[in-house]
Amino acid sequence: MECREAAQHIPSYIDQSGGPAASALDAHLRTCDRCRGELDAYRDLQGALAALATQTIEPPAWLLPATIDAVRSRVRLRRHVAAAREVRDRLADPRVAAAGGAAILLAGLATGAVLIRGRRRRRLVSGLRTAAVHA
Amino acid sequence: MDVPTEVIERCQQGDPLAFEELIRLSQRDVYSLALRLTGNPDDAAEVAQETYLRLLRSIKTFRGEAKFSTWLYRVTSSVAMTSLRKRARRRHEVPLENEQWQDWHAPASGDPGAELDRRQLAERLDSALLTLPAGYRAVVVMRDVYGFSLAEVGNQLGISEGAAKVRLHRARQKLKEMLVEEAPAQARATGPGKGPSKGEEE
Repeated sequence: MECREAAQHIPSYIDQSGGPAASALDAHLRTCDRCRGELDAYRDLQGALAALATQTIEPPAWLLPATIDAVRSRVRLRRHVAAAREVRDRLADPRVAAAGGAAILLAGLATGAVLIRGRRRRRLVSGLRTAAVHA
Repeated sequence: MDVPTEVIERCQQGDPLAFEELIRLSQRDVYSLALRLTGNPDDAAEVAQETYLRLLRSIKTFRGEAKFSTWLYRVTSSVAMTSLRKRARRRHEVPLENEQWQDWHAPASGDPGAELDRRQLAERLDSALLTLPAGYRAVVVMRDVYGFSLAEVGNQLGISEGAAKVRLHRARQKLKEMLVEEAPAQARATGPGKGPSKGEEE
């Protein structure tokens, strides 16, 4: 292997994942100071990149309160949705549905009875008035 | 990132105050990863917020098999990748899945002297990372900075593990060119000759 070819493999070689070119590269590195230097440079780069994970970047000051507000809003929304689901689930219960249906039926019957009674009363009054006029 | 197990457990039980504590303890790390992946402070802030909203839904699924920080970084990178995809569509940029290498340069600093004054390697690296195309930056940040496996990186980006490996290779080459070769080359130009010149072979 020559330096040009070695340079193509060195960036992946630092992962020590082996590969078909690894043994040829090993042999080349034993005899080539320049390519060993290249390898060291890549290892230094890898080390510096890994160290970046501990170097955090300060977020803008508004981000923390804004995130907490967004989370609180989402929690409130979830509670409302949960409450609405609970109502829906209760209504979907067959016993509650039957009781609701019965209540609606009774209300309908009562309304009908009131209307019929009112109509009869109006007819009776109207009949009495007509009789009084003829008399 | 140092989030006590007790805080995580209280979050899993639905304690809102514990969740706020978790945000305080981890937001800096989440924002840092988001910024390194998106390369843009506004996008990073949006990603950080969305990460916690997603975490609110999914924290109950954390079983402690991995470290909490690793798990949180996975959630963050997933949200960031979604954001990058949306951005690419909106701004007609190269999609993350596209293999094409396209040189992209970060906006120039407002202060021309600032670049010269940067002596901290971390700052130089963060700046160099910004010059990579988003799909390549994401690979090197996830793999070399945060220690994701190549399979995980490929999964997050929607590409194969082999494609992720190729990108990592190219991204490392580019970063090394920028960080390791350029500065010493300037030093060598003024100092005594040390070793063979670039391109010279055995």
